[in-house]
This record gives sequence, C-alpha cells and structure tokens, in this order.
Amino acid sequence: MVAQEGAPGGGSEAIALEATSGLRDVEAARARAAVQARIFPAWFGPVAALIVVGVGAVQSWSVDRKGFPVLLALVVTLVGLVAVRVVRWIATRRTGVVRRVPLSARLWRSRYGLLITAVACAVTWGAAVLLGAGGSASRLAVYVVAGLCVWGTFVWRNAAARQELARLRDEPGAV
Amino acid sequence: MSGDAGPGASGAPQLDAVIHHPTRLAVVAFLSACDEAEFAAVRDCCQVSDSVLSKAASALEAAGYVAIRKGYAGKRPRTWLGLTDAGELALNQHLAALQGIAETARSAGARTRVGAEEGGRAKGE
Repeated sequence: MVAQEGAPGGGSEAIALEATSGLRDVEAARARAAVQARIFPAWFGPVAALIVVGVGAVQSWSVDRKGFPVLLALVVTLVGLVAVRVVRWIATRRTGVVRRVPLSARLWRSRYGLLITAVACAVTWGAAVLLGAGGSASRLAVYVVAGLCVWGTFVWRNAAARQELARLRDEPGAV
Repeated sequence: MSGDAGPGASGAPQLDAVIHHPTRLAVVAFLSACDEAEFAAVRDCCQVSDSVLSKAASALEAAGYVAIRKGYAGKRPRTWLGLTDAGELALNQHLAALQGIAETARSAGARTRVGAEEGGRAKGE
C-alpha cells in the first residue's frame, strides 16, 4: 500500500483496494451465513433416521394384513411426515441461522444424498428378494437402509459445511 | 436516525454512514443472507465480542435497519436479529456506492499512470 501511494495514481489505487476489500468482506459474510444455515444439530440425523425406521416398521407389519393395520400404517406415515417437518423446524431454529430455501433448491442440493439413498434402497430390496425374504422383511430392510442413509447424509453435509466454514474463516478477506 | 443511504445530488448511490463501520457492515451483510439469525451465531460468524455486537445491533436497530426479537429456547432467553427492508435497501445502495468508488478510483489511477508515463516520455525526448 505504501509503495503504491508513492507511485503515480497510488492514492486512487489505495481507495480502489479499500472499496474492493469492503465488497469482499460483504461477500465473505454472506457466504458464511449461507454455510452456517446448512449445519444441522448432531441429533437431527439420528432422530430423522428413527422416524423413517419407525414408519417402516409399522408399514412392514401392515403388509398382507387388512383393515385396522392398513389404516394405522397410513396414519403413522402421515404422522411421520409431520414429525419430520416439526423436527426439521426445531433443528433449523437450533442452528441459529434461519434461511428459507425453496424446495427445488433443497432437492438440488441433496441430489447426491437422494441418489445414493435410492440406489442403496434398490440394492437392499433386490438382495432381500434374492435371499428369499418375505415382503414384510424386505420392506423393513429398505426402510432401515433409508434411515441409515438419511443419517449418513446429514453427517456428510455437516462435515462439508463445517469444512467450508473453516475455509471461509481462514480466507484473508475474512472479517 | 437513518444513514446517508440513497442517491446523492449526482444521482449516484452514496455510502451509508450507519453501515459504513466494519462491524456493522459485517452484521448487515451476514443478516442479508438469511431470514433471521441468533445473536450467538452472528457474534461467532462476525468474530466480535458480545458487547461489540450488542452496540452494533442497537445502532442498526435505531436506524431501522435491523429488527431485534427476544425469544426463548426452552428456558434460555435468545435474541434473534433480522434485516428489515430498509436495511436491505441501505446495504444494496452502500454496496453500489462502494462498487462505484472502486471503479472510479481504478479508472482515475489508470489515467494518472498513463499521464505520468506520457509526461516521462516527453521529458526524455
């Protein structure tokens, strides 16, 4: 900076650098907010997995049954969906940064997790059928794998977000 | 209280005195990327102390740029900060002004350099 001030046009260069540095700080702060909002509490993954497995257990129990079990499976599925939304809302508040992201953007961000979950579920289903497991056992196995994938996805996402946050903090432009 | 946000006499956006301070600018920029943020999250991300953030938030609230909401998480009191529409507008104008300053200063610097080089060449001849 001092050298630049001594050079022709150095004062203007210094002003330009300062203004650019201010703009870079703003971008860094915005990026940190966006990344911080992606971090979920550690308990969210296991709780979401338990809900998925719980719904799966009731669904697999209702296979080949009629009447009340079918109705119960339907009710439990709906309760499970509501529970996931409520738990997600609580988890979002606990992160300290609330950022409403459209569903399309959330799905796009979770594309790899969703793809891996779908492939894992398909492989599990195929393996269960090949091993001669019944419809009920196969369905339960698929839900257990889906629950584990949900947990794993959140662990991976949290780790990636924390890594990015650390990188943003270490950047020279960080506030 | 409000800052100097808004176009000046020349029509170009001007720097906002309220958010020109580095801490306040960092807080406003952080809040502009989310709907609401908890006091501790803003403090950690902006890397400031409780008292510094408290002062910055009060100044921004007085200017009408930040809305402060007190709530509870269980029995723990929590403070939530959110950027208002006026705050968002002020930040955008402040950023436009910074952008303008950077561009003007860069082109002025380039002109001065070219002028100095031409002057040096003329002296040499």
